[in-house]
Amino acid sequence: MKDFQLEVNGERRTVTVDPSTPLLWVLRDGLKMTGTKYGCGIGACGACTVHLDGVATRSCLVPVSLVGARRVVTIEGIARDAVGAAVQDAWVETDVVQCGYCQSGQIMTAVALLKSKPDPSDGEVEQSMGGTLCRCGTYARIRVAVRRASSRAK
Amino acid sequence: MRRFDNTGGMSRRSFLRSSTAAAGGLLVALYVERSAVAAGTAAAPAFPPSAFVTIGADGRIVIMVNRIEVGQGIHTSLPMILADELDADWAAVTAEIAPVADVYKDPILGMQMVAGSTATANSYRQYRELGAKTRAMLVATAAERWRVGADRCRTENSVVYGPSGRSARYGELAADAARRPIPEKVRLKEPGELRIIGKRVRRLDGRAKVDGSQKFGLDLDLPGMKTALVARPPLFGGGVKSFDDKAARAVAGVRDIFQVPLTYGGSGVVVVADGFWPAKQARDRLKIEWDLAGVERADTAALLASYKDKARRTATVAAAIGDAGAIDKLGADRTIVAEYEFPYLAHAPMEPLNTIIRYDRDRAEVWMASMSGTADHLAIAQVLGLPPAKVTCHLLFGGGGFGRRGPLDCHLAREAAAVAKQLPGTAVKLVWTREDDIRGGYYRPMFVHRVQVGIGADGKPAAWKHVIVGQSFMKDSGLPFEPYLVKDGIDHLVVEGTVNHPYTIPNFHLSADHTKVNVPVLSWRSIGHTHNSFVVETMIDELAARAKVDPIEYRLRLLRPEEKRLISSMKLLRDKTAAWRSSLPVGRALGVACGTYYGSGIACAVDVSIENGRPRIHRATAALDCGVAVNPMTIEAQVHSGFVFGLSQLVAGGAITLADGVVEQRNFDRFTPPYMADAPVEIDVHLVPSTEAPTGMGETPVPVISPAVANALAALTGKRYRTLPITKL
Amino acid sequence: MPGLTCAGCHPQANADATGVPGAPDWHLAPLSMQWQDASDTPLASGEVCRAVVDRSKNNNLDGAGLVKHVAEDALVLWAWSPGVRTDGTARSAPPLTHDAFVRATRRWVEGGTPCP
Repeated sequence: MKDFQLEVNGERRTVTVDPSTPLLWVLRDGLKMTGTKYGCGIGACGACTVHLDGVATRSCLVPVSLVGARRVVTIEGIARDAVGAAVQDAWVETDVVQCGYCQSGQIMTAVALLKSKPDPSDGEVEQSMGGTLCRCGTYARIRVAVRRASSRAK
Repeated sequence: MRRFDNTGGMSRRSFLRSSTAAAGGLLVALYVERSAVAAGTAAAPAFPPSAFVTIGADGRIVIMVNRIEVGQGIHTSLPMILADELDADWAAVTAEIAPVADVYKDPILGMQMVAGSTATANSYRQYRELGAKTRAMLVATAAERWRVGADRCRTENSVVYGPSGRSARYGELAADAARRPIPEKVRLKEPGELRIIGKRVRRLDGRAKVDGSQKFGLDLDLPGMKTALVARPPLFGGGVKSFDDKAARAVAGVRDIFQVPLTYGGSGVVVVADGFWPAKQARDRLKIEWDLAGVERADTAALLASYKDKARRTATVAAAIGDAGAIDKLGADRTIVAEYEFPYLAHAPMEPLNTIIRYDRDRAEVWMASMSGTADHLAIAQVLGLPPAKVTCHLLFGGGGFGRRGPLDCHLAREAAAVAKQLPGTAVKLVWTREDDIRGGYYRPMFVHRVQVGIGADGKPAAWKHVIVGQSFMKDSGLPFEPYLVKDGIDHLVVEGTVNHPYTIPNFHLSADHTKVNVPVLSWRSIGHTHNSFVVETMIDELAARAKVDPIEYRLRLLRPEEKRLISSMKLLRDKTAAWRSSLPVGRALGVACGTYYGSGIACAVDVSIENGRPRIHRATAALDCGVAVNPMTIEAQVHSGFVFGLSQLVAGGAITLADGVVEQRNFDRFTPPYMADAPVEIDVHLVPSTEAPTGMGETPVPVISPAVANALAALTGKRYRTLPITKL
Repeated sequence: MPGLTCAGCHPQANADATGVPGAPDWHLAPLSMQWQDASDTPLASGEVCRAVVDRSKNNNLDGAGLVKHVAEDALVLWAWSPGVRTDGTARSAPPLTHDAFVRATRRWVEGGTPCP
């Protein structure tokens, strides 16, 4: 067990955990921030996506010992970002969610896309969003919502 | 907040507790006569509105939903139905999932469950009456205050209006209204009077599911709660011979390690720890010697060979219409013989399975996203050795279900109870890792179909002989549903979709061989239709192609006249797709499929090309008739959902295979359900206008998409695809 | 692609608890540096050699730049400490030490980067 200092959604947090613990479980079990979801634990579904210094990152694969000073932003903090709020609003307006379990990851991925490509092509949306699994099949509305958020954020 | 309450001052919580006390083992037919439901003639018990509606003095309206929300949208549609008859201000409505209690049992099924696309169909009338009765009590209260007849009052947007410009908000009336007797009979609205039903209404749970605040079972955190993971045997039914937990116990945060029995048979070793990561680290360090002697080693390659062999022989007859020998009278040039292969399929809901139980010796409390609340409640009470009244079950939002959260043997509930019983006073969350889920069985069974179709001179099927081979999870299950679903040795859930196919075929013979295999199997969204409709709809397409008739026209000529909803859906599909069907670019092809499922008719057309060796679905159009469309917004979502879920059985990485008894897939690396690029790029949904009572929609779209895509692929390549998943084009 | 970058899964060092290899700036080689043909067949050694010294394809590196790249680049160095797989077994390292690799590269560069 070891102490780690993290910056999560703009706040300094200290956790005492085994250094191998993935950031996902530090967030969920340690900091009780459960908006970031466990889906597969091997980086294959994207449900656990957070931003590390703005890069969409699968938190189930990053040991807490490798997070370092990078700023962690989770679904609970993304609304403070204008693009984040626009994406969330577009998701609600489009009625994207069904069971909703994968949507934190979908939204964090969409925000990373739109922050680097404010007006992505349909192909770019599919490539960026294409690795985040949704068993309810909300993909068609995700495409619409990303487009809606893109025009909103501009 | 004052409660709209008529339980003699009992709070809703205490009311529920007393209801739970009465929870018995009443189970009625899963598949009751649907026409009775549709006609609204099925006997409906009287429901106390107080258990379903709370109106605060501030006008806030809380509506209890007697099913869990797993994505299907019921958490919005049932409140819409009640709120419409209540003439409620929709903006003031919120919803809560009801706990397990008698009063929340499905009025037709007699138990709380999410199954068979029954929610709207079975509770439409119930929720309308609840709304209408509540409204009548509010109106009577206002009328009494104003000393006017109730017939001189009207309601709108949570306000009662009386003569001479008088008005009273529901919030002002609720406390007095709650003391009134519940009216026995109420008038329900005529179709033209509906204000919320039929509107495109956004989900009540939409915001909480985009800001991370929606709690699922995996997210609950109770004081002192521990996480438990079970090391499961490599073969289904295998058991623990011995284990060495020295290294596992050395992991910081590990609290306990012990052996537990598994519901399917055999045993596992459970690790209880402070959180998921220490539990997983410890489980990885267990050294377990398994007792696998005598355990049947299922192997899908060997099963396939054996199923193909069985399919050549007539099995237990499910249907025999006309002349059984008709097929043999047609020459080989007029006969198609086809063999179809379907793999085991995992449900893989996005939220890994989990159950939380705190056992306090004389009572217990449970938190679970159970799709069979009543049965799981009783199972947990049984394992804990407590009367059901002493077990309180909270039902939760589920991160997907698709049938997996309601296993008929209640193993999720039973195993969690067996673990919790060893740790009195501690809340224990039993979690299935994704690997546990993918390798854990309870799959859609593997099937082989063998079909011989004789073609008449008119190009229509003159004779159809069909054998289905595969497991039944209902036959010999001993479940209360069994007598309703298994008749004369045939499990309806295995043959549904073929036994009741919608076409006119004069000579028809269907038999089924229900195999026994050491792989636990379970219903998978739309159950038997998943494979049966694939066979029927690809074969009909092949017949249409041979007859050189447009696939939509061919079906319209062949559909039985009583398939009214399906015919109207198919005609709507024909109209709505006319433009894009006539302007398909080179390299793209049309595929069509249709069917009647859960009382609703659906017809589907897809526009498909082949890109990088994979099907690319540019568009999918659905036309359907599900009676009154309570919320077209969620119906459309269910079509999106059903189409993508249905494609799970078509995409290359969608199969579960076993080699020498061991499941070969572990996670989403080798078991790959549809991702965005596999799904239709665009989906448009068209509803046949209807004023008939609503029928099922949650599963209805699932069966049609795979055959539609396979039919388009056949048009592109000239090959017929009869083995799922499609790994090579 | 944004939202789905290499670093989204590959940390800045190997994550042996999850079996994910990592190093700073984890990425695939650009297409200009590919050592396979379109059907994924490895190129002949001469073709690889000419591709490595072609400054239009090698990120404009001269001989000294090539030596520095193999001696110091974090992704090159990763090959000699590749971490463990998800099942806990070690990934295999190249058949020679990093020092020997750098020495051989330097000798090749000093000899005028001859290609077969």
